[in-house]
Amino acid sequence: MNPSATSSTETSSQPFSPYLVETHALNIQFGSQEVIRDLTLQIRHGQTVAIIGESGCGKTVLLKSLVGLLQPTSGFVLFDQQDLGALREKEIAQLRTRTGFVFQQAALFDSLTVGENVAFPVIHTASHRRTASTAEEELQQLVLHALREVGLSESTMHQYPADLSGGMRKRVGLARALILQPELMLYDEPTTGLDPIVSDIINELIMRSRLKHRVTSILVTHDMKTARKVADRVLMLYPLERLSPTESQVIFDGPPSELEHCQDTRVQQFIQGEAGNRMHELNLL
Amino acid sequence: MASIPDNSEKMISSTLPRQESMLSVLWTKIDQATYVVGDLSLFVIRIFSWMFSRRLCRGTLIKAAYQIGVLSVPVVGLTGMFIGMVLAVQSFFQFSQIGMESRMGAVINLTLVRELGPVLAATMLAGRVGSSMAAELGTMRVTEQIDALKSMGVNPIHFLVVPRVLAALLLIPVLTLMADFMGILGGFAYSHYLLQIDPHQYFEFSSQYVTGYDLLTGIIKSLFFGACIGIVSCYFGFHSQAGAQGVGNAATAAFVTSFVLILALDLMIGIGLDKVYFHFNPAGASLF
Repeated sequence: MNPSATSSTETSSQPFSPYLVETHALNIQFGSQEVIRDLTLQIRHGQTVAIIGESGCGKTVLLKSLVGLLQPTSGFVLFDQQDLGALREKEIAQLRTRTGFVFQQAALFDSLTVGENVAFPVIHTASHRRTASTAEEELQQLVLHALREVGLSESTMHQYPADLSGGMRKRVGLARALILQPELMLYDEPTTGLDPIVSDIINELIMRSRLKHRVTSILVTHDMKTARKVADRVLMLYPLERLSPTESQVIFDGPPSELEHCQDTRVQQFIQGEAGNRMHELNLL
Repeated sequence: MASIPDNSEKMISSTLPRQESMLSVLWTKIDQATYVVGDLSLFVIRIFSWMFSRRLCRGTLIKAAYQIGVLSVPVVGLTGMFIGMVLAVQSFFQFSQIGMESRMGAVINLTLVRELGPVLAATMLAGRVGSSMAAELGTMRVTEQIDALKSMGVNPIHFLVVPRVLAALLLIPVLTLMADFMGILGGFAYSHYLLQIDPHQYFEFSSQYVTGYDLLTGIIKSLFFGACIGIVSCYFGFHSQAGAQGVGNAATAAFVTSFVLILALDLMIGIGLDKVYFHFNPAGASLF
């Protein structure tokens, strides 16, 4: 166990840490394939971090590991100074009620209506189930409020996810993630597959939720417009198979305004979206 | 006389790489099978620990029970009825040759209650419900719905698997009894109305040979079959590979594995219960 980390019961006695999420020497591999190598990062309370990088560089894997959806091969993930690896299953479940996750394809439950999907965390998460005092009417109001916050009307409540457009599904996913007013929001490619207008609506909603609820946000994206508009810190990961064993996997870490001035050609190639030498590497020229 | 060239060394050397590759394939298969058995055992432990450690979420068991039990009633009932009729058709020819067609009822009903009722109800359930559960959970895995559950602090074993396993476990005895009843009804209807067997003799001989222990044997078997279907189907769904093919493979594997296990369990439980029967009653008379 990481000596700087605490168990959930010790948290209150610990001095306040400016960091909500930390990783220390994080390594994740699937079989023989190494995806994350020796990654150490710290994310402050209230910060919005965009993780960018090529497909397959480990962005989603990193995001999922931050809430314990994937176990690290070695290293530590700390959430509010608690080492996820040292927590019991129930403690991790309790901790996850303080986070919201918006998945790439929204991951709405097909068999439930939009209203039931949004109400799901309130009904089923451990902390809320124990009180069992959320009356039906109160719950209805809570769901309506969450839907209105993402620009959806009451009429969508009774629809099924299959009847919604991609943008609407993402907004329902956002409403579901925000309903418990989490401290940490995680977004996995929130604008992928959406038209530019809907993408910008999602960007605005992410910014609004940050301002309104003062949440810490981490988003994985390929969309440079989203990264520039929403984030106050950008982290660029690079695929390990293209790096030498001693090189750091993070090839850029700074505010979005510094992206343009970065001297690293790999960063410039990515933000400008140029194929460059990759065409030669893939024998396409 | 021309000598026969000794090719044995050459043959050995040419077959060695093949043997090696076959051995490595065999080793890989054993390794995979060991992993699956171990992983499945851990899965079962987690299911039962969640089953008894926390109350089920409201409505999830009822929903699973409706899908597994209520919606299976027509198909299980029809299967039972036709099997009863088929048994009547097949046994009539054999029994009429020795002039014992009046005893057909005993054979039909004993076969149904001890073997075919439980096995066919379980097979139908594995086909209708098992593959559907595997496909549903597989799709949830692929579309990150299981990750979404976890991200909200909900344990997917407790929320998705426990109600399904419990519903399969609790409802399969009921479905088995219904398959038995429909089979007995089908067998009798065919024997009486089409083969003109006397109904009194039909049921008189049945009651002499079919005992409560036979019925209990079928019910005990069905409990094991239900648990097997629920666990195996949820396991394959839960560990589905990505893509449409992955989900399809999970559904197929769920059915095939459940079916093979049902037959293997049928044999083992059958032998075991017979041993229990003769242990308590060496003379072979009816226990109850």
